[in-house]
Amino acid sequence: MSSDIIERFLDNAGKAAANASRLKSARSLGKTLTELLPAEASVYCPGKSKLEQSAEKALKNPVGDYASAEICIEEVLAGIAETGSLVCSSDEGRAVQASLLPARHVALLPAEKIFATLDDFFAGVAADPPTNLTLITGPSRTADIELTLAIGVHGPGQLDILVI
Amino acid sequence: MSDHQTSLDFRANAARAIKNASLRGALRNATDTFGDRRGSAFEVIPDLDELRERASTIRLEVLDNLPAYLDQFTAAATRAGAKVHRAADGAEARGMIAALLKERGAKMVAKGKSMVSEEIHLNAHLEEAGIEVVETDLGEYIIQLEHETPSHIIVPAIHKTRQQVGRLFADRLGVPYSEDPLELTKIARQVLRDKFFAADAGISGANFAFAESGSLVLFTNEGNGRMVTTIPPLHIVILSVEKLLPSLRELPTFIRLLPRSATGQAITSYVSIITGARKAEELTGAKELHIVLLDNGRSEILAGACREMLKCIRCGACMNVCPVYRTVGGHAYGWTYPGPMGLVLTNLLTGMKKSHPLVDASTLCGACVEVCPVKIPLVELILKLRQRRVEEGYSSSGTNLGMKMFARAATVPGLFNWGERMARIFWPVVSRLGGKDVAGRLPRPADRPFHERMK
Repeated sequence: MSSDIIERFLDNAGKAAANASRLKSARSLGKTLTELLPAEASVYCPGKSKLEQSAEKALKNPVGDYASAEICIEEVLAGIAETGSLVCSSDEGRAVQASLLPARHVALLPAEKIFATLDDFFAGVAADPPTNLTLITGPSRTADIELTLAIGVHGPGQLDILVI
Repeated sequence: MSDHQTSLDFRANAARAIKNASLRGALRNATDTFGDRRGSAFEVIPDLDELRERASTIRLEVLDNLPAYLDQFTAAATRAGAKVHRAADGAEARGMIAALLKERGAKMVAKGKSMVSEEIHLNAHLEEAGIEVVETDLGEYIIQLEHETPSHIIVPAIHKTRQQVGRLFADRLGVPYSEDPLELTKIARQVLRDKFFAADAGISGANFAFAESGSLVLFTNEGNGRMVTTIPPLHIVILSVEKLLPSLRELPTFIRLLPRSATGQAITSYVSIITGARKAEELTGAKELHIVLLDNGRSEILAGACREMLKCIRCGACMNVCPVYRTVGGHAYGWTYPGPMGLVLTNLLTGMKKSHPLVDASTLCGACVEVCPVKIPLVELILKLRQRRVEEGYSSSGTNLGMKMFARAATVPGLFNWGERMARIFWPVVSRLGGKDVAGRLPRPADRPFHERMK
């Protein structure tokens, strides 16, 4: 993974009002999460991948139900540098609503999962996509009243991305 | 909006809209903002014209082979676990959707924004059948509370001020008055969240459907589209047949064009791709997915001279730059789709008899053609419709007589000169008798005509 693509991803995610940063290694994940998140917050983490399991260890108040959690921490399927987007999928029994219902979404993105362009990503999934694929770019937003931007409508009002 | 009137009264509607100062202010603010944002959003695209050309080529290729693509889509979506239905017109689609809901005992439906559902008046029909329909896009929710129709295809409540929305929420929802858009958005979030979970079904449109994989895609910002399509046990998608694309491989081209053209965003917050119903090992997603492919006049348009209108991807860029739309707003057009794309599509879908007055709703300035992301030749299409209006006998007899007289005079120099002299001589009488309407709108004849001065 060239660091050029990672920089482009971080830059574009930031432009879409996501709080995106880079972690040198997975070892500092626990410490980063402790600093990033309020200690008492209820957090949903599926604990399916290695990264998610190491994130889980740092949680004070883990909950099993994403619908009532204040925060969701999860590893995502991919990132797209061109747009600063994350990709969530319903594959492997993952719940696509875990990134939708809690007010804050913390995405764990291994650097090698970042695609340079939209074309690079879609070429791989076009023939046989999973039931749900969601590209997420920044927090939920609307401008339906006098075109005034309001962040956090039905989806999360805060999106953090940790590129690892 | 009424389907029963004999023709859409664009002139009277427009005259009324022009007198509404708050509407004009809101329109100017919104269309200017979108115009500016669109401009800066495309600055990062190195060759915009090539991108538009590619998009146009893809859309034309779909239209040229639409029946084959529809079959391919149906087979793929069925393989993925969806049920695909074909509806010839609005009545058939409404009947199918009502039946699907009734068979499952559905009482309440959460709905995502869908212009094609507006086109067939789906909500009114479902409500008559005893099913509660809740619009969940903020703009659609506002106009549903107000019992209005959208005035813009991207921002349905573009005509409403924050004070009007504040009073509406206070009246209908019993909440304290606020005119802060953030506060109003929060209120809608709270009210609607319960609805998503209580809904027996979700109904949405789709921006595109993909023949290769049977997938659907929705571009949304709020997250209501994700809720509607994945939380209720039943998801019904309604889309018109021309919305197909060959493969998800073509989606990037349209991701680059559609949000930039619509709101000036590089991409919407969410792009949801749905392929079939929930599989056995999956945790979320609708258990049942029904896709209604609606023709409602598209096949007829496809066979005619204005088929390029079907390339439209509903971005709304043409209305934001249109001097007519910017002045009168969407409701003046009297039907579902406003602006340049709207007047052409409305005319093609509802026929010349009903919508012949709409073909006047253009200055032919061509601003719409310049911004159209799929290069629809809108001015050419409007001219074709104007010609068709004359051929079908819907132009006024006064216009016809005037045009005939001009055609005769313009080809006989003696007659032309005589006409000019008469216009000069009778101008004082004509302008006095005609009053403000004539004197204010017609140019005063020159004392010495241009061609004489050039001699």
